[in-house]
Order: sequence, then structure tokens, then C-alpha cells
Amino acid sequence: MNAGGLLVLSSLFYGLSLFCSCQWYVPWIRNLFQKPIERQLRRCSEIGFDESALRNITFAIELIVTVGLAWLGVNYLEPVLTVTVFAISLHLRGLIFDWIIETRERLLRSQTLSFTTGLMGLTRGGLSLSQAFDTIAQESSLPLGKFVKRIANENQRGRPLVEAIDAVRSQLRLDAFSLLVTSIACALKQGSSLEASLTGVQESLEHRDHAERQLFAKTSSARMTILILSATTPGFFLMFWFMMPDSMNLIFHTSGGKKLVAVILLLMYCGVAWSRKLLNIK
Amino acid sequence: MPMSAEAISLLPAEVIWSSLLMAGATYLAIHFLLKLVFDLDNCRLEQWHREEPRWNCLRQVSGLFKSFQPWIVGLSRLVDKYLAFMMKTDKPTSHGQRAVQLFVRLVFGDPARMQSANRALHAVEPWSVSERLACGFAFSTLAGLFAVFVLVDSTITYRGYLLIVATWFAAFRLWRGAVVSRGERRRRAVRRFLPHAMDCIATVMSSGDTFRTGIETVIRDFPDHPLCQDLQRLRNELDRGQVMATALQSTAESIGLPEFDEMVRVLARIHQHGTPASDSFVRLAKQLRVSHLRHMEEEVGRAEASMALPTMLVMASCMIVAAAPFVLSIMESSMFQ
Repeated sequence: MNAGGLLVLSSLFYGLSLFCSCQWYVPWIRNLFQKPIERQLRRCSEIGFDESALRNITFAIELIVTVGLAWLGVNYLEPVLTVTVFAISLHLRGLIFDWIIETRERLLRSQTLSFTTGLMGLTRGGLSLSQAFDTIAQESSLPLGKFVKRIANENQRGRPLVEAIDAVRSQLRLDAFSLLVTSIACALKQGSSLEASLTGVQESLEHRDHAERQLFAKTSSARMTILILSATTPGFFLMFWFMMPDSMNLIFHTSGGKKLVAVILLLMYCGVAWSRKLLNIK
Repeated sequence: MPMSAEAISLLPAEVIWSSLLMAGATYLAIHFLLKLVFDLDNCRLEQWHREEPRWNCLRQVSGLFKSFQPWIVGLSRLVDKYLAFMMKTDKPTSHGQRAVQLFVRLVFGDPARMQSANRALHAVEPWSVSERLACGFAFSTLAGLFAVFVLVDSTITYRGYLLIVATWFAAFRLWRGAVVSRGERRRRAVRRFLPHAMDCIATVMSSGDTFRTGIETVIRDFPDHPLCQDLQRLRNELDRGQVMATALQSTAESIGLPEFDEMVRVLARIHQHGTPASDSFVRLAKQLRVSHLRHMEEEVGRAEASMALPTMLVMASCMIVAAAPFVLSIMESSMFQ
């Protein structure tokens, strides 16, 4: 065999070995990366996000951040700084997921209120519960609309309505939706007035929604202050970089400068995490 | 001077062996002394060991527990006595008493907070707060000794003694803070969830079902929540044939929230006077929602006041970014070379 043939053959073997190692090791590395946020990923899938897409996107971002940090660590940064940045990025990932989950849950709660109001109006108008669900399923918007459509479809295929909504309740695990399901299930079981039951639930949900909005409005100024201040730090950094690049280069090329970067990152991280803890009022 | 591995290797073998034997003998002496002082016979220790509901967790740490059994039992009794004493003597009469109380309060913390944490955790966790504090007492003493002998200096000077006390104090404060905040977190979670639970029970009862079905609905919806753990215990007690009023009273005592006490009072009124249950519960749920809103407003006010510190941290990072180039260029200039 000539040299060209050997080259082709060796490239093929390289490719094959790379493929095999990716097949065997990528799931393992993926599990290692995603184990700390497993609970959040599962919750995301429960409240209507596409779990596999979320896992793939997260893994891709994690790989890019890790490789980028490793490269920066080898070429520019000190090991301590690299480890600090890596640890902060890992924890930030958890915070971002928490924020996504909170936002989605808030939206679902707010949609549950309008769903209950709609349901109450339609049952008061004389429609049966199944008909009311069908009507609302056509009108309601995402993300709750997806679940309502599922309930309506399952009911049309012959599954009892209470069973279908109970399945969604155990998946969503949301206080507002649980209360609604409890009221419907109890009214159907006991044969009491569904309208009266839904009125009580609507009143309670309205009160909760009002409290939640009030809380959000009252804490928004503090949240905005922290957001602006945390954006100011990188803003200052970029501004000085343009104004005096030589002085700013000292930060990444001297050991004192690298330590200062670690201190800046730690201070910012502590400030943001602390304020988040203080403002996390439920 | 730190005691390095090199320094240890220079010591004669006899010295090392005799120190190890001395340490063992001291441990055994304290072990038996504590047994004697607290009058703990093996049978009673075994009973304490097997006491429900601690059994399952203690089995997991049995080795550790057996080695320190008299320590933990003795110290936890001391902590219990301290709590009882502090709760009894609220107003000290003399300056000396006041000074002693202030010092003890500084070390062991606010007895009311500790008792409330004890109430919140005792029913659901295998270790009570006083037992945890006893462990903290032992571990912080070890931390103080470790800091002096291993990290700082092998010879004891007055600075060494000061360091032992400072490290012990810091370690114990941290431990105590963790224990107390664990109880408070649980109480807060229960307080936040109570309006929803009451809404659920009111909804179930207004549709004509019983209070018990209401509890079961709440437990089924959120089985892992702290309040549901308490409600599960209530249900188990009712299953065992306990009278509703007694079971509710014991649950209310372990939860220790005025809102839950109010619910117990409403139930008692319903049983005694025959008032309409559903109406009373709907009213109670409404009242709880309003009280929750008040608590929330209070928390927001407190959070806004406390936001000054994290804001300062982020501002400090801004200021460092602004000052860093100048400071670094001055340090790198020939003046400092």
C-alpha cells in the first residue's frame, strides 16, 4: 500500500475512534455536567418546556464555556481565577434555570386565573364542563393552553374529565391549578354547585394574583438597581478599555491585576446572589 | 511556628506513643466522668438511643453516636436545662445576674428562638435542637484545639488559649446559626403554605366533604411540603384512633403558628356549637390570605432596608474597575520597581 492509501486509512481509523469515544464518553460527560441541575431540568419539562432541546442547548453552552475558560486559563488567566470563574458560571447556570422556572410558574398561575374566570362564565352560561373545556382549549394561549388542549383531547377520546385534569395537576404541581382541580373534583364527586365552587376559587386566585403583582411591583425598584449596577461594572470595563487600552491590558498581564479581576467577580457574584436571596419573597 | 510533618518526624517515637495513650486515657476518663455526673446507666442510654422517631437516623450514625453517647446526652441535657432556666428567669434582679445572662445569651443565643426552632424540628427530625447544639459544642471544641495545635503553634501560649476560645466561639456560633435558621426556614415555609392549604380545605368542605378529606387532598397535592409532613402525622394519629381535638392540639403545638392555632379554635367552635363548617373555613381562609399579605408587606419592607449591603458590594466592584488601571499603572511604574 502506498503512502496516500495509508493516510486515508489512518484518517478513517481516527474518525472511527473519535466517533466511538464520542458515543461512549459524551453521555457520561453530559451526565456529569447536568447532574447538579437535574431537578431544575425535570421541573422545566413538567411545566411545558421541551426537555431534550433544553438539555442539548445547555450542554452546548456548557461545552463552549468550559473550552473557552480552559483556553483562557492556559493562555491568560491564573488557575485560581479560572477555577473562580468556572465555579461562578456553574452556579449562575442554576440561578438562570431558577429564574426561568419562576417566570414560567408565574405566567401559569396568572393564566390559571383567566382560565378559571372563563370556565366559570361558560358553566354559568349553561355549558357542560366538557363543552366549557373544549371551548377554552380553542381560545387559550400558551403555555397553559397546551395543557388545556391535552385535557380536552383526552376527554374527547373517552378518558373521564376528572382523571385527565388530575393527570395534568400531578404533572404541573402548581398551587393555583391544584386548587382549581380540587374544587372541580369535589363538586363533581359530591354533586354540589360547580359554579359556587369555582367562584370561591376565582376569588382566592384573584387575591393571590393581586398579592403577587403587588410584591413584584414593590421589589422591582431594588431589582432594577442591582441589575443596573451589575451592568455598570462591565460597562466601565469596556469604557476604560477604549479610553486607555494600555492601562487596562495591565489587568490581564500582571498578577495583581488578575487577582483584582477575581475580587471584582466575587464581589459582583456575592452582591447579586445576596440580593436575590433577600428579594425571593413568596 | 506551624507544626509541620517534618517537626513531627523529629519527635522520638516514645513521645508520640505516650501522647496517643494519654489522649485515649483522657477520653475514657471524661467518658466515665460524664456517665457518673449525669447518672446515665447503659439501659437508659439504650432507651434514649431507641427513642422514636430518632431510631432510623441514629442507626445510620451509630458508630459515631456510640463513641460520643454520654457527651451528646450530657451536653444536650445541659442545653435543655439552660433553655428552661433562661425561659424562667426573664428579668434578672442584680447587675451580676444580668451580666451572666448577657454572656450566656451571647454564647448560646436567644432561648425563645431556639425553643421555636426546637418545636419546628423536633417532630420531623431525628435530632432535637439541643442534641445538635451538643454535637456543635463538641465539634467546635475540637476545631479550636485543631486550630491551635495543627495550624498555628504546637506550644500553648496565651495567644494559643485566646485562639482556642475565639475559634470555639466562631465555630459554635456558626453551628448554632445553622441549626436555628433550619428551624426558622421550616416555620416560614409552613406559614407561606398555610393560606393555600386552608383554601383547599375550605373548598373541599364547602362542596360538602369532611375536614379529613380536605387534609388528605392537601397531602396528596404536595406530599413533600413541611406542612404536609405535619398533616400526615395528624392523619396517622387520627388513624390510630386519637380524638380529633387532642390530635389537632398536639399538631398545633409542634407547628407553633398562631394561624394554625386559629384553625384549631375554629374547629373546636364547630364541634361545640355546631356552627356551619364551610362558612367558617371560607372566612378563615380569607382572613389567612389577608394576614399573609400583611406578612409579605412586612418582609418586603425589611428586604428593601437590607438591600443596602448587597448594593454596596456591587458598587465596590464598579469602583475597583474604575480605580484598577490607575493603581496598577502606578504600581508598575519605576517608582515601585
